[in-house]
Amino acid sequence: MAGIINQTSKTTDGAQTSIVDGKQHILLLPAWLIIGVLLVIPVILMLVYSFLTQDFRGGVIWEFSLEAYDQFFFDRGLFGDEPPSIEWTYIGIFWRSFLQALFAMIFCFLIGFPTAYFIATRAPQSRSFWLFLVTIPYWVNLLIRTVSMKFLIRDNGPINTWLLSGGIIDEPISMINTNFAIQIGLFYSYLPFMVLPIYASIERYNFALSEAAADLYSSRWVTLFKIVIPSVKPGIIAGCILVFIPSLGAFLAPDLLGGAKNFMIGSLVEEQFKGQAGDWPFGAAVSMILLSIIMVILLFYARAQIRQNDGGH
Amino acid sequence: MDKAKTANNNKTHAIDILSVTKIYPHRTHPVTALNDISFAIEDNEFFTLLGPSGCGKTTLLRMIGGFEGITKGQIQLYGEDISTLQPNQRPINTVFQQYALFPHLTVFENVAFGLKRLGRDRAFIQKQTEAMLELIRMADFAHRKPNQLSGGQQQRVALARALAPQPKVLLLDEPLSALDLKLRQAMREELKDIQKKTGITFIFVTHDQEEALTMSDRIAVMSNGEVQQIGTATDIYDHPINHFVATFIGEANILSASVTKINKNSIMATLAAGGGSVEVATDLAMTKGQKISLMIRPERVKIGKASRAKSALSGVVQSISYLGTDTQLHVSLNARQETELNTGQSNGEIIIARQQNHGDGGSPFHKGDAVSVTIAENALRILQD
Repeated sequence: MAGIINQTSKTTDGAQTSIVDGKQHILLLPAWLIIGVLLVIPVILMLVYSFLTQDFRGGVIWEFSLEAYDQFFFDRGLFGDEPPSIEWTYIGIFWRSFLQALFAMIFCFLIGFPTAYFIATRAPQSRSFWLFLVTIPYWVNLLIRTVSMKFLIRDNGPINTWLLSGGIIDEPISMINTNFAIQIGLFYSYLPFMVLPIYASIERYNFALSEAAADLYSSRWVTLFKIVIPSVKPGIIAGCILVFIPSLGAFLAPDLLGGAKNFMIGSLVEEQFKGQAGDWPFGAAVSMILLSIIMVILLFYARAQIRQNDGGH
Repeated sequence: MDKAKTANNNKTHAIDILSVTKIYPHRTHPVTALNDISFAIEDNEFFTLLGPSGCGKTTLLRMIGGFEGITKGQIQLYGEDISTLQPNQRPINTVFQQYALFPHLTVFENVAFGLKRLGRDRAFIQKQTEAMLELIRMADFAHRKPNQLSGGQQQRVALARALAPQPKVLLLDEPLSALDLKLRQAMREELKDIQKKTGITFIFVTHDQEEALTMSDRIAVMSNGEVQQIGTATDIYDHPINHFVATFIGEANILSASVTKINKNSIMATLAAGGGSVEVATDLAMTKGQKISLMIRPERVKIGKASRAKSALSGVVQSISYLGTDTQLHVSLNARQETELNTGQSNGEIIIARQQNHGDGGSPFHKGDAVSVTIAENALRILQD
């Protein structure tokens, strides 16, 4: 059945394409330009760089080399003449980054979902006000926001001062340069990316479904988990992807709030392209590895979605 | 009134609405949706709340379901106060206007949903859900998703889902309004049939008088947050209590008249337009000279050739419309002969008459014909406002 439908739609598409051929391409030009200039060319550039040889003054020498990938995965000793063993440093950084991004995503969801639900259930005329409040911090540059967060949570910052003067704690809680600080930074940076898509789905959600669930003997929690969340799942998944992926590659929050101990992928890549000591092919290779992992995750997600949709037929 | 009291003593009603008031608060314009209404719905009854949109019928239904709070008064279910219970604590289920089927669940899962929440054991859920799908003839569609069903099928699934937990009362909020005419007519019979089979009390909300008349055991006609009249379909059609009920249900001629003579169980009255004296059966207390409104249904107005017979009113045909089964005539009543001060203005009140067609080319009358108008015996009703 699905095959037949697909075929018919294909032939219809084909016919349409031949009719509006020329015009269609002109109209698509801006889209092609954006995808080409901002997506395809930079990614190809990085892919090519990752297979080139490092120039020690920064930049690359146009000579094919697998050195960058080798450096990522294998440890050949200080002079590169020992038998290769697995290099755990970078895999460790990846692993820590994944955990950081995962927790940032979970915290953003735990706070973002109730926020989105709250906004979507206000009277229509006051919703834009609440959304406005959520987006206000984003009028300020990310760097400045992250620096102010650093100021807030440092040992003699306002939070500790206040807690000390209130007699709640005896000595300052050291929050700066911890995983906790990175979490705060990521959470603060990406929360709206969780709130907005979830808000959009909840706003479209038919609240008669919640009434129907209550009518059929569901408590509020059961209604939330059995009806509301499954119904707004696309928004939740969009929000999670929008928080998880930038968190994975974030470098401002880890750099400024996490300190040297809590290195993440973003900082690793940044370091390779910054200043004289950088290794461009290695930075490009790290980016490519990260990109591949993300693509694999998204592919698995897409396949799961397709399978679920087919299940209904 | 007396009837209601004795019934109250003898047995419990399915639902008792006791002085229920609903006010939507607002800083400047609080809205009274329901104004101190009281009535009872019998066990095993197909009861309809009928009225125009904004009359409060849906609000009342939602209050019975627990989706709206009660400002004042009490709602009882088989004698127990349920006013403060949450929807999930009431053994009452609802068929929603737009069905509100769970889009991510299959037909089977939708129907089984309530039973699962009630914690019934698996075998029972399986059996009961299958029985419900059988009842609505949807067993073959058990594994479809709601968006793969037609409107009529979704409607039936919504019904099965609400019936599956065997509620004490089933609420139906304009369930047929989203269906097309043919389907709506078929569903009426099916609903009535299912109500009889299951023996569950149905409370049905509609603005469609035809739906109300064909399906209901009793109808409550509502307007402006008040119940105007409660009765069977024939009660309401043949004996409307007031102007609103008379004109809301079917078509009605309202004639103003004044009382001329009072007999034991009837009165004599003179019609303001067209003159003529009519006798109306009533047990209401009347006084001589009192102005009253009389109602007559168009099909009970007889139109004949102009005659000089004393009892008949006379008039002129203003328009004729052919309606298939019937022909509708608008006849302007002539002014009374004794008071012929304004003969130039022949245009008195218009009376609408309906004649059944017999397949012989419609009405024998034409526009402009002078005709006699006869009102069938016992066809006039006194309206109380």
